[in-house]
Amino acid sequence: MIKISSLLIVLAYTISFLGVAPVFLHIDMIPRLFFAACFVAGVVLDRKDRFHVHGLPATLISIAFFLFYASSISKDNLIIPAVNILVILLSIRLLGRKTARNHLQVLVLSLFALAGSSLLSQDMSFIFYLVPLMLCTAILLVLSAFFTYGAKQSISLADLKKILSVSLIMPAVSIPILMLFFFILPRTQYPLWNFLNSAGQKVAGFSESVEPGSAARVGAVKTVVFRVQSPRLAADELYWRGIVLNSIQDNIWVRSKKPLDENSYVNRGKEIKQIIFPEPNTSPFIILLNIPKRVSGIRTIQDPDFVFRRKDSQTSRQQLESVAVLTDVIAVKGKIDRGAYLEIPARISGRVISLGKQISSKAENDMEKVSVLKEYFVSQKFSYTTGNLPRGADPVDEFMFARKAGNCEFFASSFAVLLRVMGIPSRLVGGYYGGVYNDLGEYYVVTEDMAHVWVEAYLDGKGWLKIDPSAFSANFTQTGALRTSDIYSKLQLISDSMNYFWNLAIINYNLEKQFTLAKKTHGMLKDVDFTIAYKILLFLSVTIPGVVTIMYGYRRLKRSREEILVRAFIKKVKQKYPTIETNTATSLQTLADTINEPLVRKFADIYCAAVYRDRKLSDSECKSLRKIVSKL
Amino acid sequence: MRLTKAGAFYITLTLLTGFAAVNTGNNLLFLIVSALLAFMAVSGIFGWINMRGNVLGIELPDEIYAGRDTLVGISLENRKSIMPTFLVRIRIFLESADFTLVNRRGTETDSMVMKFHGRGFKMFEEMEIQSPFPVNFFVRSKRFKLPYRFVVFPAPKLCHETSYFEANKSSSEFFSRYKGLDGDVQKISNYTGNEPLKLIHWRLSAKLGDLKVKEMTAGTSEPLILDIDRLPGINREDALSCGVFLVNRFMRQNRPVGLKKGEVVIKPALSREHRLKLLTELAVYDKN
Repeated sequence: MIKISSLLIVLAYTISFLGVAPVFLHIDMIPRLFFAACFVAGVVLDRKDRFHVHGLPATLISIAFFLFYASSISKDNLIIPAVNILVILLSIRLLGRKTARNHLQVLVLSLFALAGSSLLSQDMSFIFYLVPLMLCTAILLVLSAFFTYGAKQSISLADLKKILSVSLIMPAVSIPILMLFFFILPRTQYPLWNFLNSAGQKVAGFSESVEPGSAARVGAVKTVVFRVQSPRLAADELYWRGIVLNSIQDNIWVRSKKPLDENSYVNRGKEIKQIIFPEPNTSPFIILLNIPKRVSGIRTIQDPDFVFRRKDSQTSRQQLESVAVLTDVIAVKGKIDRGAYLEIPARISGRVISLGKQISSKAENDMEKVSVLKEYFVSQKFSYTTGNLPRGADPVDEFMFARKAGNCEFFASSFAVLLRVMGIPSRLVGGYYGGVYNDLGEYYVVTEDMAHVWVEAYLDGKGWLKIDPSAFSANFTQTGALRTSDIYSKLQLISDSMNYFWNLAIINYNLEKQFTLAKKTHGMLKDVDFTIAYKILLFLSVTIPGVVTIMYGYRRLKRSREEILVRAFIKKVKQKYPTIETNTATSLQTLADTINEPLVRKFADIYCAAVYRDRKLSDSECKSLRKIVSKL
Repeated sequence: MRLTKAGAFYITLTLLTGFAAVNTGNNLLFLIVSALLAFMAVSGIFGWINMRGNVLGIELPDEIYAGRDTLVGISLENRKSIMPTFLVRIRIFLESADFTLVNRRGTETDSMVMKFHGRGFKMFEEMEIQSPFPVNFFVRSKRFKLPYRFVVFPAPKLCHETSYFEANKSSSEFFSRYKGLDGDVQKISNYTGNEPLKLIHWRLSAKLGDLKVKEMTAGTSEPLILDIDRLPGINREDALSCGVFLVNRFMRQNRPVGLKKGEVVIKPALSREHRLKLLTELAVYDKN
């Protein structure tokens, strides 16, 4: 025999673990340690079945923690303290005696903790906590019903198997209903508490300023920045534009509003339509395929240098559609603010200036100057590296003439500075380069380590020309789109495509999609395509019910008035006396004897008086029998 | 269907999560709400299936006396072929019997001690089958009448008065149908080897040259007829209780008892069926 209470205790601990696990890394250290300690202590206390913490001590501890964390709640810091409180309350419940009430409290607090986790992270791992939690909940609730309502406190293994099989079937049957509810539950266009949702992290690789030499090495974080549903593109087409840094302030490339007053446009070219799914982040700049032409799906501001910014902050996952033109040139109508684009850093080495002048003297026009500079970069055999980067008072000088190795920031900033020294307006473009194409989902995934900076040089009569100085390094092919394809990477791709579909189907589902789904369903019903399959389906859906109705009607018509009355009578008797064995073969007199109800007796008498004397029921008899049936 | 505290708790939890989901637009919260709602719907369906296809049976003893503890057998047959019946409670009057699990197409039995008040024919008028299965959020119940008629005899009450008994002196009107050792000689038959030696009719055996034995009827006391109207007691019920006591006592003493009910006389006899018949007469006396 198995004790139900022992099973319930195990389930309560499992549920508490599944509720707290998804928030464990987000909460403060005190609740973390407190939960771990209470979990272990609770197990020990339950095994010994004594020294449980409940009543006044439990209430006082709860109040103390509640006040402590409630005091730190603010509009900007609401979720973490609330989840801290939930975890503390749950921990205290684990120390208490495991009654039915305690089990229910543990269940509710665990569910709230899991709900809280959805406001901290919308990762797919959520489903791996929700599903087992629902399974355990089903078993706990069923066993709890047996524990509180059933007479037995212990149960045989055979009976337990039967109970468990029903308990597990219930969540399984729930899944299609869950999906239905998920898609039809009402959504609002502008949720009031939208601020509670996770705003995401600041993008680590993408920077709103470039300062070569500020760090000795650049981290290669594999965090996903965005995914793009797109046709496959060539590796050198995968430049994702985010920000344009047009000004140098104290040797730092920044974005200034001053030179932005220009009339630029993109010439005709191959247009690429994409759907972009950015991970939640706090940056106002939207990363799009270079050169972005149009963006829809969210409210944006477009700057003349084809930088797109959000009008509203991103509080949840979004998707946006973009159209990009595969070209390297942004044409400009009229003039640009040459003065602003020709500013050079305050601290610049004489060697850099003389190099610029030297290259300048070799060429007759700007186009040639650019070509000579490119050749110079190639000839120097710079190497691309993300570690051991040049530092010191003038890192660009060190990169150019001493170390000859650096990352994209060194390549781009030195190239742009040299262009400016040579009198060619230039600016840096920050974004990403590359992307791993997921054949399974037909999308690109771009990670933080693909952050990249390149240069745009202004050539009179042509416009802003894209130049990627990093491409002139000896080892540029090691970066960007070309990635390894080992088993680990393939597994990562599979995992990522699962996350992608999760975001696509679950996280990004909103009111708009709900309307689209409803419209589609309506459209499908309205514009039924009468192909053969549909015709067969339609034919069957009409004929089968028709045949059934005709057969039923025929059988009914074939029945005599007497038979119909007896059937109705027996149906009523069965409803009223479910335990009585009745069928049309049972003698009505026997039935009347068994039931001993005047109405039944009366029916039997009238019916038998006629039918057993071989005559049909008269109209008045039929009327009174019908009355009896309705009274029953 | 009655909502339990746990059910109210669950509904509150679902509403709160639903409120949070709508106001945050967080699809993961919508997922939790959908799971809670789906589970509630499915548990409702399972609860409904659980209550179907259950047939109740009742087994009562032959002798039920008013106000006395009576052991009533309850059986629950599960006619469902898809799943067992779980957690069913049968309530009859104020008593209940619990069935934790009845297998598919199986039957389980239980018993309960009940007290029936007042004599006469009775029916199980208020019966209820209820179940909190599967998760004790709602207790489903179904009330019904069971057309099972039974008779409750008056409670036997000790009484000694015998002056009102009208004995039937005519012994020819009565003889026991049972074999015995101390009654009258009923017939002579052959000795089979099983009869006691004292029953051997020696004289006849010697005369016929074969062992013959006397077959005696069981010894009976003088038959008597109880007149209901003359039974002692402070009131009618008291008198009927006394009558039950006397019927049981005399018949246990192997004395045939009859009953006089106004002009109607039930002849004395000595059998279990006869005793139950007399007790039934006493139970329904003056009852419609």
